[in-house]
Amino acid sequence: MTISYKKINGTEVKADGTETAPSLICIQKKIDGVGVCMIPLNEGNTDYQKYLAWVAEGNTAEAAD
Amino acid sequence: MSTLKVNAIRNVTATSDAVTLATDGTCTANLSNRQGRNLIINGAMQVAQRGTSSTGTGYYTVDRFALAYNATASITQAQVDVASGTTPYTLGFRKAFKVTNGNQGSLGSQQIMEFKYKVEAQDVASSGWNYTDPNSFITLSFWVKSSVSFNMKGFFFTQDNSYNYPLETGTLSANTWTKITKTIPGNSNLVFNNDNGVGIVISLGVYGPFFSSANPSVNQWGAYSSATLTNPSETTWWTTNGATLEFTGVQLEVSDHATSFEHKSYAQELDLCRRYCQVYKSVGNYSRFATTIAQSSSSIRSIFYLKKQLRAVPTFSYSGNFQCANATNFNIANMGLESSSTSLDVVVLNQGGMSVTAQSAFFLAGNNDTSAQITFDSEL
Repeated sequence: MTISYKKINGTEVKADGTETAPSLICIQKKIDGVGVCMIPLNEGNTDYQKYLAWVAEGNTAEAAD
Repeated sequence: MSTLKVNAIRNVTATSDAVTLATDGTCTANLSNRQGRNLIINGAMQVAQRGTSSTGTGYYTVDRFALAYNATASITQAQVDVASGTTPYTLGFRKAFKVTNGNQGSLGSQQIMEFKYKVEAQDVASSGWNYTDPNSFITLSFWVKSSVSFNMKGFFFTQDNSYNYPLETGTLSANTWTKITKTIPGNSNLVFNNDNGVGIVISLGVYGPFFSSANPSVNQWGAYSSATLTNPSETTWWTTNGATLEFTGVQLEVSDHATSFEHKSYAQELDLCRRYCQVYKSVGNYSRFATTIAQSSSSIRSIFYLKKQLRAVPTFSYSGNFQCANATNFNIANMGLESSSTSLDVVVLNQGGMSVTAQSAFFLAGNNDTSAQITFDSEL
């Protein structure tokens, strides 16, 4: 079982209702190359904590499309 | 009418008062069956939002309880029925968490297993346990049944200052439900932050190379190290093909003894579990899950107003088939979690690359799938 991550880009909605240019909105977790969940960019989330630990070990997430 | 005038009521052999009467006409009772004393949520294993059987490692079946193992092990976790006529069935327990050993033979050097529960730190901090006082106690009790006779090891671990308390069940009789009780004193070194992080980790049925071979003493607090955590459970269970282990009736309470289990209704337990996980499930072929808005001609937002405030901003996952009618190119696999718009109360899912009419509205729905489900997970 190999765990990896991919960055997911998306637009966000500004106060005037228009959208921003695409930027990082969450992290996708993959098991054996298959996406299993979307992780918020929030340090209270334990999946995000595990992602940060994975990065701290020297790993790099797959770039966003 | 007569009046009984006393200052306190005490059992003839007790060392403290059961009821203390104050001069203002009020009283304080030391109740052993008060509501809310069990710090464990879903201790009777009633709620299993995610599913009832899995070979996954982590939270996959019974809410709030995780089974951790690594990739080289083969283990199944499941929510099962407690057989009628047994005790704990006669005490009102109908569900148990079952672990089944997947015929893996000898214990490999990299194989691990832990049955885990994590208590939120602020729930310990505000429990009333004077945890820095060795004369103040917390008591863990649970029912366990193993298909193999063995001495099961486990431990308490305090996340905020890394102290551990090894424990063991003693030799369990095969195929016999046994109630285990462990009364644990406070310790001047313990720390529990008043926050939503992990407070106490309770681990049982542990196996693995990182557990000590130094045979640390059980039933005493110590600063965490690989030598003091605990030693692994007896290998007898692990090396028996198809061995099973079941748990139910888990209770952790501020007391120097175990009281009877605090039973709750399914609805009460489900409500408590939803702080940590919320699963939205289909009940028909095209069940609606959320309102979806076309923010522009190329992007949509599905908005979930959660059933209850979550512990933390959640992880999003799904299983099954979904549709968003009239939204060309819709694919739930491409829906991201919009972190900046998602909170503890509202989740916003986001997909670009669409071809839709701006400002139009849709439903995110199941697509001819009665088992489709969406999960928002904020477990510890």
